[in-house]
Amino acid sequence: MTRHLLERLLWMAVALLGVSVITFVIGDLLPGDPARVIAGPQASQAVVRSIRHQLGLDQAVYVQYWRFLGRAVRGDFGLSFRTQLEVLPTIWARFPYTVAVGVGGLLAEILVGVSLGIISAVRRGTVLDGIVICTALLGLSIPSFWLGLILLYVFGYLWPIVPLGGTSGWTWIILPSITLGFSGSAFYTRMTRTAMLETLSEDYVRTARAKGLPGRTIVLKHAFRNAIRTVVTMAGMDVGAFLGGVLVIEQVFGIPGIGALAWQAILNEDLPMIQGTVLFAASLIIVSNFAIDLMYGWIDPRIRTAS
Amino acid sequence: MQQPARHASLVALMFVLLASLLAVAPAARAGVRAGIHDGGTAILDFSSDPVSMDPAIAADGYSLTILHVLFVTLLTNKPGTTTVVPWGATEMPTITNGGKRYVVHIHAGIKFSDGEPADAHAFKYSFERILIPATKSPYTGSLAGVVGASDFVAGKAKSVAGIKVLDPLTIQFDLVQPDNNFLYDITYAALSAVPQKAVEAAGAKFATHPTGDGQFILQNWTSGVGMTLVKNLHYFDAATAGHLDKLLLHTNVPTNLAVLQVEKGMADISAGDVNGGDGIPLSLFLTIKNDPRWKSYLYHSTLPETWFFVMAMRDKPLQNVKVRQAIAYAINRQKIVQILNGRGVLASQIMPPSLPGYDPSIPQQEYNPAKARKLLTEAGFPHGFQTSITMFTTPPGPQEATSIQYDLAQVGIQAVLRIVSLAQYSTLAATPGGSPTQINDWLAIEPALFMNWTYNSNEIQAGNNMAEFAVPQVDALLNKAQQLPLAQAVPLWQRAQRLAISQYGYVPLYYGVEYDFVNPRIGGFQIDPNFLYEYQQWYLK
Repeated sequence: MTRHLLERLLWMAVALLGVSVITFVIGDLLPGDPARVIAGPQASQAVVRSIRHQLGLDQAVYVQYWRFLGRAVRGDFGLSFRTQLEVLPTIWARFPYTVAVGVGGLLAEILVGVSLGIISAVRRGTVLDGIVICTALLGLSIPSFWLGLILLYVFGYLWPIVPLGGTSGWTWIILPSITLGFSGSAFYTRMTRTAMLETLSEDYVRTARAKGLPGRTIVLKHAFRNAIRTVVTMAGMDVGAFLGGVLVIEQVFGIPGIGALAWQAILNEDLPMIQGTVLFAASLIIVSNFAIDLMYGWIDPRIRTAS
Repeated sequence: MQQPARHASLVALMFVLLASLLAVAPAARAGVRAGIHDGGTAILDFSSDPVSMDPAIAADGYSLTILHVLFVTLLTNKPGTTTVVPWGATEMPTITNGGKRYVVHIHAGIKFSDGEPADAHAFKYSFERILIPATKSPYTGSLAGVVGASDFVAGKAKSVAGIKVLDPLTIQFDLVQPDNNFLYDITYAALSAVPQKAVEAAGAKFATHPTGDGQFILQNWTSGVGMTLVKNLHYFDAATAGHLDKLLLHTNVPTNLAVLQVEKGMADISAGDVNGGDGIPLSLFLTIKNDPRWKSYLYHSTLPETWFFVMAMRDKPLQNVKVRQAIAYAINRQKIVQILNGRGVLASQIMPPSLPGYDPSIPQQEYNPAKARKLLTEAGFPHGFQTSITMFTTPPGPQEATSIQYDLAQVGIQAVLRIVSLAQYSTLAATPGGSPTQINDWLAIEPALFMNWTYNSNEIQAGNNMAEFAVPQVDALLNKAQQLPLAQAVPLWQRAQRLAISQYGYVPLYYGVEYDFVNPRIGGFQIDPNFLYEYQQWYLK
């Protein structure tokens, strides 16, 4: 198990290194001269050259990358070209909003999706099953930004029971979580339903029924325990997809998270901020996947033994 | 009998006095100035964060509107106009030595909120701080014409020889050559005084925790969420002090939500985007404009802003004046104004009508595709040619570019659109040869800027003269005009413009019209040509 973990840690480092190279190279290839943008339209060439030198942009790309990597390892992503403020503290200040939306959305989609998936599997072929499948299809079809706007208009403007965007109070989290969770819950419903149907037809479930165990115990303790691995795998992969979704949701609801920060950085071609947000997000995804790996072992002892 | 009567009179008199006092007291507590009640809070929605609260660094319009009430400059524009008036200065500068020396007397008693005086020493320190390369200020160009500035930038001098403190309340500027734009330069929020001790103590954090001397003080700023400005009770000038107690600026609010928040009374203004996006989204504009409920919410004003189409005059086939003329005839500018839903006025020239130098005798460019095709044939391109149009992503940029792309296609010119981010656009636009054609704009109150940045060949290297327009006769007129007092410069600018416009390096498209969606409870609102918003004038009705 220890060796497996060490291997995983090593691959995490390699993946992060890869992301840092890609981010840096793309940043370097982008048209535009950050020194000219900082210096302003009236600056002389001497001033532009001076700024380029101060930023280290007059050095070879590999030297710039090496310096960037050396600083990044120490948690220093440099100064924003635009605001001249440190990148990492800016990201940390925005991080809680992204976490709140991400966790809210993840909880919404898992709670709703898994519950509906179980109900749908247990009530297979009934009207209830049909309604659940239709709802899931709807969730898959509706774009989240559109749903967000509609929810805001109805519950923030026409019938104001939640804030009309922004992050005041605590109720602001409700609509973004529902919006983010609705489309995701559809996947969980489908996956849970399929996994549960497979598990419910297994011999050991039939045996449990033959032994006279209550239906709730069979479904939740025996069948769901085995079906949950699919859900956990999806949740692990979702962290990455979620960051993409959160970016859109943050724009719709005016939430000052990392997505909004990254978007502004891209618009302003603020390379240190782009590199910082991308590396930060990549680290988040890689660490989440590592945590999911650990959870497998906890959920299914056979994996722990095999490792 | 007389006694009770006198007693009754006294009681009545006291009653009247008491009633008068009671009537006056609330107004006195709230602070009444010319019928305006002081106090209260205004809420503003912006769709992104300001860049910086350090005047030496911030160059975005959003930061500048805020810095304008946090820091005092020597001169400013009279609110709502393009006229330059004294602010931190007691009077307009005394100009001597053939226009090369400016002496400015500063008001006594201007202090930063930490008690440090905002005097001549503070202004000298602040101006030199801009020039220090480590500051990485985008305003070095504004002071490049001061004697000794280049030596100071190069590290050859410890201070700028052309900025002298004559006494704590008098500062003198010596310029290398006369420059009528210098009066405008010192209205820039960047060229306000900053407190040396606070700047050196805060370091980079001065950008988020500034110590100012303006009508308001920045109480807090949470990145991505917003900032709170509170009234500066120690502001030096009662006549220009702010009325509101507090300004709550919400950032990161999408404009469609901001408009809904104003409608619901949750915010007072939808103020738009730091990158130039409008406070009223294009998609909602007509709905709002045509709805009688929002009539009292809408303000509009034509800005000193000119949008124009640029053609790189050294590129083939644009180096042929007939080709450029053909393009000018091919562009349907009225259609662009329609796309903007009327948020523009057709432009006859680069200089906007509100600035000295505007020439009403210059006619509008005619839209005539048939003539355009004829000119292209005469130029040797009967079937047109291929080119590209560069524009930034902020609406309505892409819509304008698409409209022109269509117009050019009608006369046989196939143009590929290059819609890029504003940052990429800035570099492409400023790089000679970076783009064959593009759409750009100037927004400023300095007439010399409009003329020089557009038509002076000195500005090619800096990337401002994007068409690489270089006509010696025009250069001579512009260089001479810049050294004359404003009134004498006007006829030279007009002559230069008439000469330049026939070369078709730039096709004036329209003058920008700003619309704002403002809760009618806000009094004193007007669209300012320099800062857009003058928060110190706002009050609650």
